[in-house]
Amino acid sequence: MDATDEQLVADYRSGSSDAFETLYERYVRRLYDFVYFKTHHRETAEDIVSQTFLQAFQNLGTFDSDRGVFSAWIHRIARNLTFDHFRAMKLSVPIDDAWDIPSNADVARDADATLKVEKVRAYLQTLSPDQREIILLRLWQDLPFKEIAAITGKSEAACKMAYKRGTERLRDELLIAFLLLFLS
Amino acid sequence: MPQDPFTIVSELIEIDPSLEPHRAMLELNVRSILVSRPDTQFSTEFKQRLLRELTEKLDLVQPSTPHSLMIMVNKFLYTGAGAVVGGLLVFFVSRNLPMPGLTTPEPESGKKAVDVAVDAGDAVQGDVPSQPLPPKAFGDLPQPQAHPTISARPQSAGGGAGGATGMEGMEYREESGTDAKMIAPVEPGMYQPISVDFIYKGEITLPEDDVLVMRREMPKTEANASLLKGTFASSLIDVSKLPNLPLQSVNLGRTDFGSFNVTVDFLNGTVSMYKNIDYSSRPESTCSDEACFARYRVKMSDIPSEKELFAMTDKFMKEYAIDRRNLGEPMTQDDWRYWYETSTDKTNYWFPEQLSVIYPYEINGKPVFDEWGNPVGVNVTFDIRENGVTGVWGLQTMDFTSSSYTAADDLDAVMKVVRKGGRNEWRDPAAKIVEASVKEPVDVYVQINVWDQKSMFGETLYVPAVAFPVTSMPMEAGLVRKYVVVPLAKEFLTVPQDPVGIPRPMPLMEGAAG
Repeated sequence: MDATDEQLVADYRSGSSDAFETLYERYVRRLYDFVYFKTHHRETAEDIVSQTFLQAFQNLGTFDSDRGVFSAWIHRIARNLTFDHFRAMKLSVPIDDAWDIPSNADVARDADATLKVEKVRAYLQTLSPDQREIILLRLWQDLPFKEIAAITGKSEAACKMAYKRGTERLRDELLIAFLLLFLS
Repeated sequence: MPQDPFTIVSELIEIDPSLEPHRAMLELNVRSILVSRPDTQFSTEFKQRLLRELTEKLDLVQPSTPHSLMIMVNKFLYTGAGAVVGGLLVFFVSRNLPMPGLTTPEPESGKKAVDVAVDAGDAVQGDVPSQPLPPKAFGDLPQPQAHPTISARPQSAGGGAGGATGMEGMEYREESGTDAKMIAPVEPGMYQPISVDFIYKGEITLPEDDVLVMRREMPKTEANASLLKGTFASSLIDVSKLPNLPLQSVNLGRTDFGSFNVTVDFLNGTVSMYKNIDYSSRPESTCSDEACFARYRVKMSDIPSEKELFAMTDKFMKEYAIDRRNLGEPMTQDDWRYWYETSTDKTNYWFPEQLSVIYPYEINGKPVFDEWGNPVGVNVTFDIRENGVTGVWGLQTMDFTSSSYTAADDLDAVMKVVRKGGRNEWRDPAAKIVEASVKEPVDVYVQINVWDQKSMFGETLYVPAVAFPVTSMPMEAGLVRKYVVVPLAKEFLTVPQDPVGIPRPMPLMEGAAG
């Protein structure tokens, strides 16, 4: 049976470099995708993920497994660093992620990502950042609610409620007319 | 696309059973979101490089030693030109995206459907144009697409089981093109799929003449890049150098809670609006368990009567001067009532927080339905928690051209479609058949979206049809269905040979195909 995150953290604190590598393997792609879906920019995502790991493992002494799981803790660091990234831009409107970037803002985004998300942008922009995060974790990162709850630090029930509310609009309106439905 | 929209929507319906009647729409939208997932460009090179860097840096420090963080430098601010060029790319590419899965109309006389000249005088609002286009001007009508919503429960829940023999369902087994040997037998404890036969015992009068099929015409707008004059964009790029760029859409809105946003889609001629709602300030936002959520959820007594509901949505329509000339009387999507009434545990039933009121489109005074028996029109969302309207979807221009098509003249074919529940309905060949009843039909139009592979554009057709009100449905079916809709153009009555459409898992048992 695989060691839990918390066990690996304890092992790392005891000096195990293997524990670090296991945690790194477990989280690097997940964190990268998590950040990329908030920034839509490869270099920015790489930068933030690098900062996240560095900050997490330099401050691992502050992690208290009695107060929450490692997954939520490290995702919170990534989320906060993403906030900081957008705050540093001093945009006219403070934003949490790339979805809320004003149309006239000069913010780098990968052209192909911009293109790919364009048809669902209007819908995703209507969601609160919390709802959007949960929906994208479920639909784009294919994570079960149990893990989403761990990442967001909410209960599974709260995640399902936010997910349900976020998807309510989808029952009423065809997002993409029928121009783009089967692009894949 | 890593996930199956059907599974995702099934999970959503498990969370909120009142969404069941919206399955088809939800699946399309979920699919749209899934396919819009961008490639994150995660590279192995980055992964290895970061591991090396971290190992190096972390070897120098003790895990619990605080260190100053690297200062994040925003290296990625570029000029606005990138964004503008990106936007232009979106435009060019979106005009050329393929949409497999729908058939290609083959227009008569070698003309593409969309090449048919549309005279402005022929397009009228909500009425038959005075001068129809030549017969079959919209090309061959598309073949039916199998759609499995009539099967009451997901096949994936128990797996392609079956084994029923005899019965009237046999005819569908033959039509489906499925090899009976591929069907796994039902084992004790496995889920038994159920399909519904809709029984009509009355008379049907088929049209004597050709039927007039309507095609919705998109608006032509004069608005173009000149709108950018005087804005920051015109100082960054001269879009007049790129000829013929029409305005595609406009979004108007504020970010404060309680305000409405409006989206005007100039390509598709639609307007929608929705309200910004502050969910985070609701008391349940701090809940961490089911019991807490239960304290704040909607109760039966919170739900307004239909009369009260319509009064509020009517008032909203009036307040915002929403054009109702081509809309019929409101109807509610109240399928949740059925699920509540049939629920064995009413105390734990989750009532919807939002109610949908449909003002169906009307053409020639007849309401428009979709192929699954739901009214199609302007959808007004009433939020019980907000005690007000929070969204309006489906406002669209109602300009049509028309063309005559051969009317359905085969009563048996019509009855077969009625019995099946619609021309697109596919059923599990191994399903147990139960019977529902329908009564005398009413004249309606059925809205059918088609795709022209040659022109790469979609079209919406409105086909004269009859809608049979469902009068009884066995509880066992676990299905809410209000109408069975049958188009009256002959070409629409072709029986599908092979089910296509949204795929469903059909697990094979080992050796079953042999």
